Parts: sequence; C-alpha cells; structure tokens
Amino acid sequence: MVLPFGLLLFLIAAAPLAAPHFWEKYYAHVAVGLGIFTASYYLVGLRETGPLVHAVREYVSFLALVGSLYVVSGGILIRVKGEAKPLTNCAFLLTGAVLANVLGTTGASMLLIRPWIRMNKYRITEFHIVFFIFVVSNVGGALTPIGDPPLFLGFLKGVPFWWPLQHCWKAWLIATLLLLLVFYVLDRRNFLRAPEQVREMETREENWSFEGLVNVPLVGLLLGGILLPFGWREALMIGAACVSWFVTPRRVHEANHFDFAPVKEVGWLFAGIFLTMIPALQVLGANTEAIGLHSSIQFFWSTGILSGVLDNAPTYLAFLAAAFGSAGLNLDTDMPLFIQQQASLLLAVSLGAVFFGALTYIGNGPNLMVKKLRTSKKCIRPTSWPTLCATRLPSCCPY
Amino acid sequence: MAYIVRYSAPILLPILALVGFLFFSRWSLL
Repeated sequence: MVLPFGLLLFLIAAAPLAAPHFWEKYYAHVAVGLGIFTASYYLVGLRETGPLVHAVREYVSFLALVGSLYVVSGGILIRVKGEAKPLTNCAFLLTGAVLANVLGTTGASMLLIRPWIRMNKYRITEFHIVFFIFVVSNVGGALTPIGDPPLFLGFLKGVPFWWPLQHCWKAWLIATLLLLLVFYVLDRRNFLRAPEQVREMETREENWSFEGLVNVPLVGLLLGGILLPFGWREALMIGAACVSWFVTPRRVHEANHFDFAPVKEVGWLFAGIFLTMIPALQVLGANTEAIGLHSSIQFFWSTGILSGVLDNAPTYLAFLAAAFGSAGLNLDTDMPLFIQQQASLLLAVSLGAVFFGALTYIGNGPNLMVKKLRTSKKCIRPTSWPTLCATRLPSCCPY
Repeated sequence: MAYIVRYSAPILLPILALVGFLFFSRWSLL
C-alpha cells in the first residue's frame, strides 16, 4: 500500500514537466483519488479508522495554519528601499532565518516571500526561491519548538523549550552561513549580469514602507493559538484569516498580487499526501528495529532522507521513538533520562528532521506554498524591450 | 520538483553531510 504514495510523489515531480496541461487540469483529481484509494483500503480492507482520523486531524491543523498565515501575511505589504544587492539579499535571508524561530518557518516564509520576490523582481530566478526555501522555510527554524513542527512535537513529548537553542545553535550557524556563502556567489554573478541602468530604473521608485499593519496582532494571535487544543485552534485560525480578509485594504491585496490559487493547490495536493503517507509511516514505524539504527550519524541521515520525501513532523516522531527504543527507554515517560544519556541522538533526529525538510517541495509545509506563490507571480513583467533583454538574461543563467 | 532537487542535491546535501561529519562523527565538535 506504499505504492499510491510513491506514485503521487513521482507525479508531483514529473507530471508538471512531462504532461503540464494534464497535470494543471487534473492534479486535484489525481491527488484526492489516490488518497481515497488508500483511505478505502483502511476502511474496507482493514476496517481500521484510527490512522485515518489521526491523518485527517493533522491535515485540518496543517491547512488551517498554512492557509491562515497565508491570508494574514498576505495582508501585510512590506516595500524594501533600493537595489537588492547580494549582501542585502544575504542579510534579508539571515533575518528570515532568525525570524523563523519566532514566527515559525511557515509564518516567516509567508510574511517574507512577497517582499523577497518584490525586491528582486527584475532578476528573480529559481535559485532565489530555492535558497529562500533552504534558509527561511527550513534550516532557519531549528532553534525553537515554534520554529519547525518536528521540534514542536518534541516539545509536546517533553523536550525543554530552550533545549534546541542550547544544543542546535552551532549546527544552525554553520549550515546557515555556508548556505548564505553559496547563495552570495550565485547571486553576485546574477546581479552583475543586469546592466546598471536597468537596476536603477527598476528600483528608483522603491522606498521603505509598511501597510496592512492591522494584521501584525493577528499573526501574534495565530502563533499564540498554536498552543490551544485541536478544534479551538483551527477555529481561531480561520476566524483570524476572515478578520484579516475583511479589514485589509484592497490596495494591499492588489499590491501583493494576492489570490487563493497557491492555497488551493497546496490543499488538494496535501490531502493526497496526508492520506497516502499513512501506510508509508506505519511501515517505517514497524521496521525501525529491523533497520538496525544505533549511532547518531545513522539517525541523522535516516531521519533526514526520509524527512525530505515524507512530511518531516511524523518522520521525526517515528525516529525519536526508534531512538528511545534503541536506548531501552519509553518515549512517553523517560524524556529527562533520554536527554541526559542520549543527547547526541536527540540532536541527530532534530537536525535531520529540520534541515533535510528542504530537500524537496514536500519535505516541509511552507516549501510548496513558497514555490506556488512564485509561480502565481509570473505576472510581474519587465516594461520595455531593453529591460526585457537585460532581465530575462540573468533569469536564464543562474550560474 | 526538479528545480529544488537541482540545488538541494549538489549544494544542500554536501553542506548537511559536513554538518553530520562535524557533529556526529568520531571527530565531533560536541
């Protein structure tokens, strides 16, 4: 029964390239169809509803969080003054990486992706989006339980709130700085390809400005609401999104090119992913002993690689349970003892789940949303032929 | 998917391999 999940992953990767028209028209049917096929197997074949109910609850929570953050952050307009030079871009990404630990990777991504696209509008390429996903949507959020869903699950299981900051900061710093270094090299080459007069022309009217600030307390409300129980939390998030939608001036939504297409696509695709992922996670959970994991490096890589192709939150829990099992401890009762004796295993599972979520678009919730936002913003066009020539060239040549 | 893998395979993975080597190998920084 792992086949529908594998097929869905394959189609998400290959269909937009191999059959773009078919995929654009039928992606929702395919994703939901495969999900219903898996659900039918559990309902009719196994007569088991527990895993399905659990998956549906997780899906509702996921979509409420991502969707509400999308709407609320879409009501905030941030304009950045001047050219987005490579160093400015690096500083922006570093700020995003820090902010990801306060707002969560989803919140920081939704808030910053629009200004990121806007400030680089005349030379944005796929590598700008991909490095944003690497740094802000994933690696950045390794320092607090708010930062990334796997760490929040760890917090709920008893990992102290400040443990990730105290133990992950060195790895966070090394990974973030190395990513920024590579980004700087690529971005500098891209920047130098755009003629100076084009850079000036495209950015001369920009100024620092913030609009839609009524949404800032709503973002705070959403983040505080994460700690509420299921049901209340989702109701609060949907309520905040509705308030944001009605109180935000239209011109802010228009300036942000706001529409619901990315939420819609992420909603359909993840409906299929959450359902088809159930057997894949069960197979993983049932075979952790047989896989024979013992050392930290093994846990780092195995948690990481599977976090890249499965959602990283349940993968974190599966491997945390395996790490407890390998130490002969109980996940529900022995967390203090585990931290005392096996801190290295906890570090390996935490870093693996958070860092490797950036490997693919489905490794972490905000990845696909950021990508979809970029796709839906293709309406931004240079305004004249010289600009067109000068801006399309660097876009075609990221290296 | 191709775009992100085009960058994650040659750039992100080696960086994470280095992090894994530095923190979890016998020459760990911890």
